Parts: sequence; C-alpha cells; structure tokens
Amino acid sequence: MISAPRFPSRRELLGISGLGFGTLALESLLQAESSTQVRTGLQPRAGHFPGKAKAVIQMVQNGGPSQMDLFDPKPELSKRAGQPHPDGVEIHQPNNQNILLPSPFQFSRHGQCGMELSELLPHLSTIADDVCLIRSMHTEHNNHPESLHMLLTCKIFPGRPVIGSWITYALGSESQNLPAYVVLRDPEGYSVGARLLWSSGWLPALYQGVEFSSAGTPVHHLKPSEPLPPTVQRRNLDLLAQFNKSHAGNHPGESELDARIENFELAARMQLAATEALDLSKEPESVRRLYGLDDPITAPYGTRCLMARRLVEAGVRFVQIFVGKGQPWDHHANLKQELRQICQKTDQPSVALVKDLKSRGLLDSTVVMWAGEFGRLPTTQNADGRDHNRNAFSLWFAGGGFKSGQVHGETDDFGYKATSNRVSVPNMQATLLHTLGLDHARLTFPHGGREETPTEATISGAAVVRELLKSPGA
Amino acid sequence: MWSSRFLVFIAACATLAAAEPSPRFERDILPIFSANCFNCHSAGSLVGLDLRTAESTLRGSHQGPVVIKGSAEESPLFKKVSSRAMPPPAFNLKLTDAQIETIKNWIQAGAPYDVSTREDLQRETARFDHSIKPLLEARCVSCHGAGKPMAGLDLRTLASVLQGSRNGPVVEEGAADKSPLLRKTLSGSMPPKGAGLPLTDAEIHTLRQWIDSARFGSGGAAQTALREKFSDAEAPEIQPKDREFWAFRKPAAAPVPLVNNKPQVRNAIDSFVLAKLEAKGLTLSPAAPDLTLVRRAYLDLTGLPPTSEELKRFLADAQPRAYERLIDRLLESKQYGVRWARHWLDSAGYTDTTGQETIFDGIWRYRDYVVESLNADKPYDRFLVEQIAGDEMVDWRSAEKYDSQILTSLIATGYLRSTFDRTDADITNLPQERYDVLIDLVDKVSSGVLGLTVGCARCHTHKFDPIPQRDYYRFMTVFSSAYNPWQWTTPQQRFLPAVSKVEREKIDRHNAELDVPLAALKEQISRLRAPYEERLLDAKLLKLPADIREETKVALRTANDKRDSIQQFLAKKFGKALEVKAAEIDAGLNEDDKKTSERLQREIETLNGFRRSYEKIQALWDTGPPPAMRLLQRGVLASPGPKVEPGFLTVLSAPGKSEFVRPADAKGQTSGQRLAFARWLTNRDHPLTARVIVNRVWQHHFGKGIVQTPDNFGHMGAAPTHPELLDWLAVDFMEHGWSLKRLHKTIMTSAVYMQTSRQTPRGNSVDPDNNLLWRMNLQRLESETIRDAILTASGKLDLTMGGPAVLLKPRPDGLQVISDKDPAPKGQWRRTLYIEARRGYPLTFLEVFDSPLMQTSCNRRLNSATPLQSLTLLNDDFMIGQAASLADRVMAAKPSSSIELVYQLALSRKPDDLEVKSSSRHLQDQTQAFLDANVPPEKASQRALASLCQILLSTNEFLYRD
Repeated sequence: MISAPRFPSRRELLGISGLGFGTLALESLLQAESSTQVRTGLQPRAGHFPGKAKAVIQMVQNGGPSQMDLFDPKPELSKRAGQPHPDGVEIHQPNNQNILLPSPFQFSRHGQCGMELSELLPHLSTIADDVCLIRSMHTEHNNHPESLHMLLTCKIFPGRPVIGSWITYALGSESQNLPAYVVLRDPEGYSVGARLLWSSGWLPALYQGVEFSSAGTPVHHLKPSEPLPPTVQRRNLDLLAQFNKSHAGNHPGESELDARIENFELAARMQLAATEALDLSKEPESVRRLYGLDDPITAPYGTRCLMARRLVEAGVRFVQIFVGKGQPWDHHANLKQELRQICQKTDQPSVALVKDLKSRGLLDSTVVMWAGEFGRLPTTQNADGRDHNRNAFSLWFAGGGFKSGQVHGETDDFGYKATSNRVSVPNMQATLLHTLGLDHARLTFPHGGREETPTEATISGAAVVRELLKSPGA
Repeated sequence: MWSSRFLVFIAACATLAAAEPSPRFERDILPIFSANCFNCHSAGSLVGLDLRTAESTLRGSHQGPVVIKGSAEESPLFKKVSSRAMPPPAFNLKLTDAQIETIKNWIQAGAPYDVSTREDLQRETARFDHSIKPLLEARCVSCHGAGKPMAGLDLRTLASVLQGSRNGPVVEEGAADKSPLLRKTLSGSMPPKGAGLPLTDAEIHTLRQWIDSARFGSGGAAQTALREKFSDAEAPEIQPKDREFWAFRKPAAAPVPLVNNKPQVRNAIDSFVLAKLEAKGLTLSPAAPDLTLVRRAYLDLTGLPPTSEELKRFLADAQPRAYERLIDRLLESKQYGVRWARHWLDSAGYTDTTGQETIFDGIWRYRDYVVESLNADKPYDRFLVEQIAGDEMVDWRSAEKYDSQILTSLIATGYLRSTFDRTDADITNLPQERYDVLIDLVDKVSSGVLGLTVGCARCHTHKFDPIPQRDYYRFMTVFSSAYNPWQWTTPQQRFLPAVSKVEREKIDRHNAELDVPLAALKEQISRLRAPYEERLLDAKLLKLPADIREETKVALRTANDKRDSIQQFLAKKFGKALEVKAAEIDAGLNEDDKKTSERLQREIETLNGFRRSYEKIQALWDTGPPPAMRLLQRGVLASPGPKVEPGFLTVLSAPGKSEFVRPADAKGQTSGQRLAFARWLTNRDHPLTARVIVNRVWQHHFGKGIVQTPDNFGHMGAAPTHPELLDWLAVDFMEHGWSLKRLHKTIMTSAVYMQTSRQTPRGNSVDPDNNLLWRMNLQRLESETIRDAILTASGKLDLTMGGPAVLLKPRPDGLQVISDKDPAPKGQWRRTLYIEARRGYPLTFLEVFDSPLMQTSCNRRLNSATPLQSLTLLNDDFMIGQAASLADRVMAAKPSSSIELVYQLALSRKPDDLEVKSSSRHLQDQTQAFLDANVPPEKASQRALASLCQILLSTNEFLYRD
C-alpha cells in the first residue's frame, strides 16, 4: 500500500531537529503535544502493533564465522575430503584450492530439540532449546565492509541507517538518562567498518549508536580530559541555563531552543547514569563467574555482555556488542587452532547473557542476536583455512518472540549454498522488526525525495519469516 | 638431466603433431574454463557470459559475442585471456601459454563443439513436469495459457515460464524471494480476486523449493535472446498532460503583484511575499536590529561572525545605503567563496578521498576550483557545463601547452569524480560496483541539478513522475563513455598530469638526461662504500654458525624474486639482524672516502634540484568510444533489456528534442555526450535548472526553500509556497547572466530577508510554519560554521586559502581529530572547508553537529539537537582549548571590563546589566573554586574567565543565526 504523498509539516520538521519524526513517531509526538514536558526525541513510543520484544542485544561476530565448523554439520565433506568441489565455488582472493575441506570438529545433538552443534560451542549446546538457529542465511557480497553494511543496513554500501538506529528512531528509549542505542566495542580497537557500523546515516544523529567503553572513560566527552573541581561544572551548567532561558524568552515558541536547554540537563544526568549502569562491582560473584569475568580469556568480552544486560535493564533500547578489533572470525588459514581460540573467548559470555536474561525474566522481552556478516567456503584456502562465502551462513536468535529450539533452513551437501527456506538479510531484519511490533514496510523516513524504509521491500522483496516466530500470527 | 627434459619436450611436440589440428570445446576448452572461469562466468553471470557450454559461450555476453569464429585476434575472449586481463590477476589463476594457445587454435578452427550436453535442462524439464506443471495448470493457466496469455506470460511449459512475461523474467534461478512468480503469489495479488483462492502454504512451499534449488543451466534465462524492443511499461509515451505539471513547464515571469502596504516594499521579492501575506491578513515583520542584521549577513555570506572592527565600520557608516555597501563588501570577500563552496560541495558529494578512503594529491584542486569560481561569480550555466563536460570543451589531448582554460576545464570535472567508487580493490572491481558508480552519479546530478528523484526509474517506470525506465538508462548512458562499465578505469587511474602530453614528454626527456650522470654518481658512491659494507656484513655474519654463513650471504646478495626456497628462508630469518645500515657505513668511512662520499652526495643533490615534475588532476574524460548500454530489467544487471542510446529526460525536453546530437563545439576525441547533456541542462527553456539553484540559494538564506524538497520538484515533492516568486527569481537570474552574487544581493536587500525572527501570536495562529514568511527563521549554524565562528572568537582562525587538505587521524578512543603529523598541525586552525573531507569518518566535532556522511550527496542538511552535542560543548578538548585562547586574548588586551570584551568577541554585542552581574559573580565563584582546588591564583582567574568564555560559546545565541 502506498501512503498518500505528504510533505513534512513544521511540526515534523521540528522532528528532524531531534524531536522524533516520521509517520509512526509523529503520532506519539502529537499525543504528547499537550504535555509541558520537553521532548528529546527519545521518549518511548508504541510500535505499529504490540510486539513481544522491547529491547535488542546484537552481538556482532564479524569476520565470517565458519558455519560448517560451528552450526551446520556436513558429513559429505568428510566423505569427499580432498576431492574438488564438483561445480567450483565463487572465489575472489588468492591461494584458494578447489578442494573440499572437512571440519576438524565433532558435532553432536543437544537439548530436547536435538540441535546439532559443534564441540567448539559447549556452552551454546546447553541452551539449544532456547535458540532459534538459522542455517540458510545468504548475503550479497564477499568482502567484509560491504557485507557488514548489508547485515546492518540491508545495503552493501555505507551511508544508510543501521537497524539499531531505525529501531530507536521508531521506539525511542525506556530511559531518559541514557542514550537509546549503545555500542560496546573492544577497547583494543574497532572492527572493520568501525563507526559506520552504528551510523544513523540520514536519520537524525540522535539515533546513532553511542560508544560506551568497557574500559577507561565510558562515554566520549562524558568528562573533560582534565578533571574540573566538582562545583565548577555545575555552576557552568547553571549559568548556561540562565543565559539560554533568557534567550529563549526572547524567542517564544521556538521549542528547539528548549530541547537544547533540556539536553544539557540530560547530558549531566547521563554522566551519572552511565557510570552507574556500567559499574559491575555491584554484581554478585556468581554472576561475574557466569560471564567468565574470573578468567582472563573470557573476561573482556564477558564484561561487555554483562554491561549489555545492565544497560537493557536500565531501559536502553538497543545494545550492540563487538567481539574484538579487526576481524576476529576471519580464518583464511590455521582455522583449526584460531577458530577454537575465538570460541573459547566468546561461547561462555554469549550464552551467559541468554541464561542471565532468562533467569531474570527478561529474555521474553529481549532479543539476543548472534551474527557474523557471511559464512565460509567448504573448500581450502592456504591449505588449512577457508575463504569468504556470501551464499550461506548461520546465525542465531534467542528470546523476544523468536521460536526457540528450532533449526531453520538448509544448505547443500557441502554447506556452500543455502538451499531450502533461504533467508536473506532483509527478510531477517523484517522479522526482527516484527518482534518489536514494527512493520518494516510502514517504518518510513523521508530522504532524498523518497519515503525510505529499513528493508526497501519493493526492491529487496523483504518479508517477515513467520516460521522463525513463536506466534506466527498476523 | 637436461636430456630427460629434452625427451619430454620431444614427446610433447610429437603429441601436438599427432593431435587433431583443431581442439574441440568439450575435450580441450571446457577443462580450462571450468578450472579458471566458472567462478564468475557460469549460471547467473553478471555480465551474461556463461562458459559452461559451447552454445552459451558462442552466444556471448550482454555486450555481444565474445568469440568471432575463425578470428582469435578479433575475439574479445581471446583478447582478454591473451592480454592476461582474465582471469583477473588477483585470483592467482594464471593460464599457461599452452592453454592460451589452445583457446586460440579453437577459435581459429571455427570454435567446433560436440552436440551440446543438455542434461541440466532435461533434468529440470522432468522436474518441472512432475511437480510444478500440475500446480500451475490448476491455479494459473486459465489466464496464463493458450491463446493470448495475460501479460504475455505463458505458464504451460518450462521453456515458456523461463521466457517470462512482457515485463521480463518471472523466475530468477536460485532466488525465490526475488522471483516475481513467487512474490505475486505471496503478496496475494495472484491469483487476482475472483480468479481463484490464494495459493496454500504447501503450494507456495513447493514453488519456493523449486525456484531456490533450480539450475536451468544453459536452458535458463540466458538462452532467451536479448530483446531489442521496449515494452510499454519500460517506455511509455510522454503525454501532453504530463508536460503541464508546473515543474515541467519552463519558468515564466509573472507581473509583480500590487500590494497595499507599499512602504514595506524594497524590491520585487517583497511584493510577491506581501501579496500572499496580505491575503491572509498578515504583513511583514519589522526589520531586525542592525547588530542582528550584520551578524546574519556575515554568517550567511562568509560563514564567519563579524569581527568587532568590521562591526564598528558598519555602525560608523552613516551614509544611506550602508547596508547595501556591507552586502557588496561581503560578496567581494574571498570568504564568500569558502562559505558557499561548502554548500555546493555538499551537493557534489565532494570528499578529499577516493576509493576506500585513499588520499590522492590533486583531488583538492576541484574544491579550490569551486571556491574560485564562486568568488569570480562565474555564470552558473558555465559553472555547470565545465563540471559536467569541461574535458569536452577543450582539446586537451592534442594541446601543445595547457592554458588556464584547459586546466580549469579538466579540474572542473572533479564534480563527476566526487562519487563513491569502490573499484580500487580487485574484490570490489566487479560489474555491480562499477554500475553503482553510475547509479550514484545519476542520483547526484538529478537530485542536485535537476531537482528530481529519478532513482525509482532504475527498476521500473516512475510511479509518480513521467520518467520512463528507458529515460533513466538514457540518462545513465550519457556518462558511460567516461565511466565505461565494460572498459573500466579504476579510481587510482583516473588522474591526468597537469601538463600537456608534449610538455610531459619534454619533462620526461629532461629528467632522463639527468638520470645518466646521476646513475654514474650513484655507481661511484656505491663502489666506494661496497668494501665497507662487505666488511660490516662479514662481521655480523660471525654471529651465525660457520656452516651457514656463506650460504646466507649469497641469499642476501640474491634478489628477492630470484631466491630459492632455502634462500628465502635464510633471508627472512636473518635478513633483519644482518642488515647493514647506511649510518654504520658512514661511521666507518676513512677521512678521504668520507670527503669523496660527501662530495658525490652534494653533486647528486644539485642534479636532483634540476629535476622537473608535474602535478596531477583528478578528472573525468572519455576513455574510448561509448559502449553498448542496455536497460536493466528491475534494475538487475543480470537481466538486460533493450539497448539504449544516450538522451535526455523526455518530459523536460521539447517534443522530439530529447535525442543526443553531438554538439558542434565538442573538441577532440570525445563523444560529446556530456557536453550535449550540459547544454541541454543550461538552455534558457529548461524547466528546472534555474529554478533548482535559485531555490537552493533561497533555502540557505531562509532555512527552507520555496520548494521545501530541494531535491524533488516532482509530484511527490512539496509544492512551491510562492510559485510566482520562484519563477520570477529564475527568469531574473537567467536574464542577468546566471549571476549568483546578484541573486544573493537581490534576496538579501529585500525587506523579507531583513525581517526580525521574532514570533507573534497573530503570525503563529495564521501560519505557524512560517511558510508565508511573515518573519525570518531562526537557524542553527552548520557544523563548519560553528567551528569557524569559535575560531574567530578565540582569535585563532587562519584564513589561508586553497591547497591540500589538513589531514585527520583516528584517535584510539575513536575520535577523529586533526593529525599531529606535519604539516597538519600548522593548518589546524584553518577554515573547516580545508580540513580533510572524508566519506566515512569526518572530524568528530563536525559529525556531532550533523555534517553529512557523503553516501552520494546532500542537498539539505539535518539539524539535530542531541545530548552528545551538549557533552561536546562542555567537555571536548577543542572547546576547552578555544575557550582558554579566548580568555588569554581578553586578558592580553587588558580591557577595563573583561566581561564586556568577552561578550564583544563571542557574541558581537555588549552585555546587559543582569548579564554583567551574573558573569562577574560567576567569575568570583569559579575563581574561588579553582583556588580551593589548589590552582595557583593567576591560573585560577584565567580558568574562571575561560569557563565564562566556554559558556558563551555554548549558548543558543552563539549557535543560532537570528
């Protein structure tokens, strides 16, 4: 259905100025119009329909986790080890051999559902019944940055808003003291794609991811680099507010000026709230152990996973966690050893987060997503590694209305290409939005003369994959 | 040993001699292709070349045949493999000479093949007949069957299904989600209401499974011969009524309306605006106070607040028309070009980097061209033509010497180059990425210059505007002789020397002449140093076990690519530790040798001083004859439709005048396609070009345009609030030589522009959005202006014009800051236009204040108010540093009242009594707080003053243009 052509009114233009915007956001904005509360654009809003989930924790496993060594057992690879792939595979990089490489790892069945998982994932195996595993993902590019943009924005080029920005733009935040969208990256460095992976593109900057550091100062500019005596900052804020209020008094009716005044107060509150939310010292020892904070191997990523839970509890809408700098899952060589190492760092904390949310009754309202940007080839590269593969990869969801204890989709005998129940990235995003009560085709923002949507369904063919949902309903 | 090799050689010759003279496809060619080419050239090949069967190979690619039977030399396939362009070098799949010879012989022999194996198709036909045919027969064939099937789609056999409908294929192999056949049934639009119940889940599942796993091989879409006739959907005829829409008619100046309140009228703009206001019972607001007006004019035209001297000068000018003279002065200022270049560069999508964010010298010349053109008030029509077709206006290829016109014209094409182009790496130099460049370019030119959103027509004829899909591809084809997707030039190759060919050869010759004595000198030096180097190396070698010393030495003396595997190992293992550094040799030289060495070195430097070089220009030019371009069905590269010729949007052209004709004044070996397009754009009857630029200038002065969607003047865009005014401005603009400076002056000397921004209850009740312009709009400064204004206040601003950008660096904490490597720190306080513009990671301070990420381009910026902006104003090092500089500046002036001077420098005005009182109490309190924190007394008062400075630089009054 095409909605009637309509140009933003002044009120909506104010929305562009950071007061919340769009067909959806506008409605709640108008409802709140009568209240005197100053709106920052982050006030919570209802979706298109009631959704199961309220928050999302997205664990980005960038580099391209190997599906046939982790999630998608391929006995045929072992049977035909060393033989060439019958049809050849798509390659773009040097030192590929068209020779089938069996997985060096054992698979076994887990949970009531009997999900087959690799020995590298002993912790995930314990929550198989809470996981919705998709084996038939496919994407559009064989290069990291392009595929990461695809995974997060449904397009291979940078510049569009990531899914976290769309969600916070649509739903605002449950917390008025914290940003709606928080990014927890490895303090050691950025992943490939860096800050573009939480860019709001042409959505208002209010909806871009805000980096919280899991070491050192938690938020950029939260404090000056040289500390100030305690009363100084407060007095600065007070005098600034006095000047700004007097200026606003000369410009009655300019609500944007009020929003700016309010933002300084929010900034001050954020200084406290962020420090509080990220302070793990109050967590009991049992919880710290659950996330592996007592082990130097699991502690760094575990810290971010635990922080993510605290942030969601504090009302943050979308938390994005990165595993490590560069491309931690990119195993072009020495796969056997390096894949084991990255699993040792991440398996326990990722699973701890699901368990912890569940025990607190938060899993039903929180989507946990574990995803890399593409998969790997069934053939060898550099004798003991695998090259990139856009034709098939696996990822999993837990909580938030996803149907747990199920495996969705299949790949061919070698795990090269998704064959049945194929799920494209836009389909996956449409489904994720659905769990939050959002219709991907009706979530719009005017840009460049068009009403843009997160999935561009008219071109991508995006549709909700109902089989992934607990209650497929309407 | 050689004898056994020789025997093999003899045997090979014998085999060759005994073999059939002509290779056959299946036996000799297919193995080569399957091992080397199938990654890209099999089913679903983007370029349409399927090398899996002889038939499909002979059919060729979307570009045409790749094999000319009997003539290897003429066959594109042979040319690509023999030049080793294919397989792409990055794949490390080198064909042997023998393999290339085999391909040659095969083509020379007429490309013979056995009867084609058609297993795929046979298997798929059986599968179709078994499980799909019954379903389609039951549900679809009553409409899509015998006789005249609906939409030309016959669903009775596999072949006819693959043939598709009039609108293109309905099944895309392996991609059910993208296949119209499945999508129509999924969305419930098929079967249509009344023609049967929707398909059951099981039926949909069957269809989906079939398409997802299908491999039609050579029987698939590629077998359908390319269609050469446009369907009605692709090329609907433009109707006379389509041309009647206001934006598609040429602008005509209506008479200036009569108004009641004549004394308010300063020029025609006021009459147009007043007429509308009076109709609603409103009138213009009074003029803003002088101080406000001066700050407004300065910020609008130069992007800088007025300095106190400039302010004094204006206030002291008691003669009539002082304000007009101020505008003239500002338009004469070089800073005008710097300010307005930013607006144009937004629309051009300019960055200082290309490809994957690589800096090349010479990109910045385009930025400087824009600044200089604006400062020279270059007529806008010429400005456009140069940027779109500068290289076609001058015969640079055969010019003896480049004059300034040639240089300018080539540099101007940087406009077309400011497009995101990822093809600098092999992994992203693929047909889709090349097309992406063209797609972005069409988007940029259409939205920025034409004010139209044509992107929809890439996949289907525009649903709202009369833009047929065919027109979109004609538009794209205009640029295809320069951005040729089939003969691609990577971004790093798209640079021209800034001197003519003749001059370049002269310089190269000159340098070559210097090379002879230089080589002799270098040889002398190395001969002199060799024994020292040898002795030092021998000494170091003693660290190694005796029995590998000699071998290691030989390994190190052997060139890297000549080393065998043992030598490679040795070099890698010990090379670093054994390296003899130049300094070590220097230290060891005896007096005589030292003197000789130094003398030789000086001579080398002297000679090098005579070496000449030339600079580079990032440019776009026709790299060869235009390629055959095709419409892409649904915008999909793998689904080419009919051939398209370059042309212009039909609805914007006089009937029958939308075809490309090479302009008579196109110079040199170039298609003239872009020049023709640029001339079409800038002809006086063009409905949009003048309206669009006039509207954008208006937008930058008022915060929003007369058309509030600057990049969409079509049916989905906003209607103009003042259509007659827009047309009057457009016509006046063209009649007066497309002069932008004149346009600014006309706008800025109108009473409409000079109004106060204050709201009134009456205005708010009648027109809360101020669409009728009963007051000026309050506008937040753009990110660059905020930074430049802060630097003006702190006294740090550096007004150096032009040249390479001041580079950035990422800090480990993620902030993007100005690099600390020379020469960046020297330029760190330059105007923000000269700070490195990056597509992805701009200066963090700018990003926080909404500077756009340059995906393609930006014709209107967002203006957000976020807590991060507040945190930046409070705690960013830049803010703190500039506030401290402002405080130092004030203290150094030893004024009678430092509070008054801070106000003067930060806000261009005096403080009122209350402000003085609050500020002085603040200074006392903060000084005390710093003293309490053990800050030394002198420092404490400086820091207190700095805190006041920072507050003023963070106020809304500072951040907004009133």
